[in-house]
Amino acid sequence: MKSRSAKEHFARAGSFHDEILLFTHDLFLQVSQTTSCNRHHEVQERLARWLLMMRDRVASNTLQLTQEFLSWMLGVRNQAVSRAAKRLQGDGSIRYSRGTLEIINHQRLELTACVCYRMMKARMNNQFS
Amino acid sequence: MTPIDDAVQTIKSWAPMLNRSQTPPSPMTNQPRPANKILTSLPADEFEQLRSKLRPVNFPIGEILYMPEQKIEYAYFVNRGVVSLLAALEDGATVEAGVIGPEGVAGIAVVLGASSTPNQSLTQSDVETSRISATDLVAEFRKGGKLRDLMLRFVHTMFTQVTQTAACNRLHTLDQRLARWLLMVQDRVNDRQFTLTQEFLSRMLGVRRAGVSVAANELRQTGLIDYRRGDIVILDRQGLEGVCCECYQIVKHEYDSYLQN
Repeated sequence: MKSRSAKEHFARAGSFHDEILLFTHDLFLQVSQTTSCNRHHEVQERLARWLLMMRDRVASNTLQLTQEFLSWMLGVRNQAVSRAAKRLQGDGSIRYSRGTLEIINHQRLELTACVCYRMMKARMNNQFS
Repeated sequence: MTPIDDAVQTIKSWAPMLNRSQTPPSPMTNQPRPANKILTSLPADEFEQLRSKLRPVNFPIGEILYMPEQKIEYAYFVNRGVVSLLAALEDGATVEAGVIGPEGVAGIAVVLGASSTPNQSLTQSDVETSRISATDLVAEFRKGGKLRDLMLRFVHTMFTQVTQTAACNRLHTLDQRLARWLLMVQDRVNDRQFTLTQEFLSRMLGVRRAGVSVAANELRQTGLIDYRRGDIVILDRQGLEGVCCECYQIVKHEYDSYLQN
């Protein structure tokens, strides 16, 4: 959708307008939660949360991701991503080789993920129910 | 106890003034236009429509404006002082996600269509506001005039601040973050001296008190601030700008330009 056309639809102040604003609210909460998560949670917890959030959105257990990309997303060095990913592989949550990451046990991944995952997901579900 | 109960307990324990009663404020008719930058940017006719719905309401430092998941009854256009927006975790750990000063309004969730938020807001200094009921604000917002335009721009600007803070909390050192934070507060209280306990700072920055103490001492020893029993005096603003991370300038630029054109 072109931004001009989005603006025109938005200006009509109908349900598109309301949905966009609610989405903005939700995204705002996601980001504010992340300020806290980035401060208080370990790489492994954050990696697990991030993978689960991706899984929910692409609706697939297979994700194409380089370590470098993950290191940008999580704001840590490659080595730290590598260590965290190895631990998740070690406990059977994921398989990861050559840029392909497969979630093989998402329940276990949820146990590793920080509470932020559950908090963000609950909010998202509320919004669209 | 649910996570929210936990968070509420934690916050209550910080703010002895939570249930302080207030005399009912009178409307703002016949008073000069408040200093809030959104309000001062409104065309005269639009402000006149709004005026009867605003009430001057002031808060002491440490007052809670919003509790997590509690219905938002009012929004507050800040005229002076600083309100902190905090993101809490289940164990009560917090970090500040953003600050709101005279450039903005606390309670934006209501115009976005939400009736509550999991974040908490509390005053970080003595704060003077123009209060409006959530219902009135939403009605005015829906009229689609300049107020709506300015509030949406403010939402965007706030979004930039919070996003930047997410990165800053991950990537920058405590010294840098403390310096940035002091500058952001000073910009909003417009005074080189303000009151902040170490406990408060540790909650804002999401670190232990010992860490805050070390960082504050460093700034004091290099002559950038004076810090005694919760009173901070900024001695060398330029020096602080040299210590802080680039996040300060990035966010400041957004705030300086958001009300223009």
